[in-house]
Amino acid sequence: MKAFTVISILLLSIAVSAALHYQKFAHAEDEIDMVDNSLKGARTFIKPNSRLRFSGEEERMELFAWARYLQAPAVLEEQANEDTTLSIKYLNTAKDDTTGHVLWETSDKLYRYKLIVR
Amino acid sequence: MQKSSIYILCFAAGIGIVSVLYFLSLILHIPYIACVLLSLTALTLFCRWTNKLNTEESPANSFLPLLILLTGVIIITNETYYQATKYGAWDAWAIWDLHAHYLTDADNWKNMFLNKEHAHPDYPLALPATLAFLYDPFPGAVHYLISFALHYSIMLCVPVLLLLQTYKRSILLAGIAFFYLLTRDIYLIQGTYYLADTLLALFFMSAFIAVDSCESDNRYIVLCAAMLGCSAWTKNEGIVLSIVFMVFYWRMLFARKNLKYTFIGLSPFLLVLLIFKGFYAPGNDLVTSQHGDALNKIMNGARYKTVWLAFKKSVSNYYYLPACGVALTVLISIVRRKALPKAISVILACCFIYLLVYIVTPLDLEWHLKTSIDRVLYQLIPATLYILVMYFTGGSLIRFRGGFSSIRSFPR
Repeated sequence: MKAFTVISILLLSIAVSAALHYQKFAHAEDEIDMVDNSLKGARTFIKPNSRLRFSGEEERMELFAWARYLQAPAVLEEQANEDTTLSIKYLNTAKDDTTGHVLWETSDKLYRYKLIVR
Repeated sequence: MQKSSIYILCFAAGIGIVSVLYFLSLILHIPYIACVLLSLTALTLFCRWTNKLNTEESPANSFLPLLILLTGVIIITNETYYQATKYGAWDAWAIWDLHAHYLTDADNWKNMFLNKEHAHPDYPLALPATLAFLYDPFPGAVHYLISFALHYSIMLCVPVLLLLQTYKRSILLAGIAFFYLLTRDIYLIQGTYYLADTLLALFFMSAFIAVDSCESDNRYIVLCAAMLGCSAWTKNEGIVLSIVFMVFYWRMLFARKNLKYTFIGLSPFLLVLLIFKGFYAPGNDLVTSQHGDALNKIMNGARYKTVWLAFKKSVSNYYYLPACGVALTVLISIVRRKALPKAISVILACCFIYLLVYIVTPLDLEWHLKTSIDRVLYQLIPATLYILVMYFTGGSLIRFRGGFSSIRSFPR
């Protein structure tokens, strides 16, 4: 097969796939997008070199990974002893164990978000 | 090797080159624009050099191979549309894309090494650094699309390269291998998880393809060594795969006349890997978490049984055909009283080392097997399919005792 033909087919396939992927997801809100939108307000307090403790829901481990992913290059650790905590809990949770001065707070249809200083 | 295969190898090597330069530019505080110019220069020089390699004359576009290629590409495009998610799976946003996010910040990228829980900051940076290089000039809102385009390109290159390198030997076997790979659930799932395993699979298969072309031009050893370097720079498993490959092909790679080619291909990746592992990355959790009970685990028969059962289950669920192919080559070797093909030996040795890692893993064995065995075996499958097609069509890989292998002339 001619190299030109093969490479053309590959490039066309990549272009078509990318266009379809864009069309499918450009206006679709993933749960990560929802958390991202909710955390936008916290970014004025969280500087790129900040280090925070994270407090989430035990059965929803993804929250920690998402928060870290969305707040990079800040550093988030669950077991850390930092004085500032980013808390993401279910709206109706009974286990809100975070205490201190609430710097910022918001909520969406699933979670309540708080930035708390000890 | 065909010109089109060379272009695909250039794309693979391009990922390695860009990631190396981007990582070095972060260390040396080189501005992004200078890194872009350096990368473009390096890629141009590399492509010009590969154009000088001896390649087969491109045959005319014959109907059947073209039909197979087109059908396969349409299947991948269609399946990916339904399979792909916006951000991929856990390891994408907890590890690979997370590292890419850190690397886009030239001032604070070292923060990634402060993450101790679940982030695996010791993983090599071929994929994250390439993503960061591509992300840098664009707003965060389109990063998911860039990530998809890169992963889709990698995913597409694997079966296409397999087809291009084998169809002239046997269109039937090449077609079977091509469609087998691209219609496997595991291939589509792993490809759209946006992890580094498909990239590693591409590099590892490319190393076999390059080493097979050394008969016509021993400068292909540069490409082979570069692919091994890229494998090591992609994942920790890649370091194992590269070492095993080099052990089995040491006579060819380290022969006096070839040493400079091996050095040229390998050194950039080895250098950054040593810098990364030596000065920045923390120890690997599988190594640092050993508490001196590795010997007890090695002596524990129950662990072997658990690992073997998980291996058997994974093979029967996802890799039955290549496993049967490998078993057949072993059987043929026994019946003919000949040594096992070198390339098959590489695959089996890699499998064996992977299984041994599970035996001594400090993590919960059941959990570790459940979360990774399908994925690590997947890294070997494209290379295995390539090797099997070459073997069963009387290709070069049936020669094993040192020196260059002989490639039969292609049927016209």
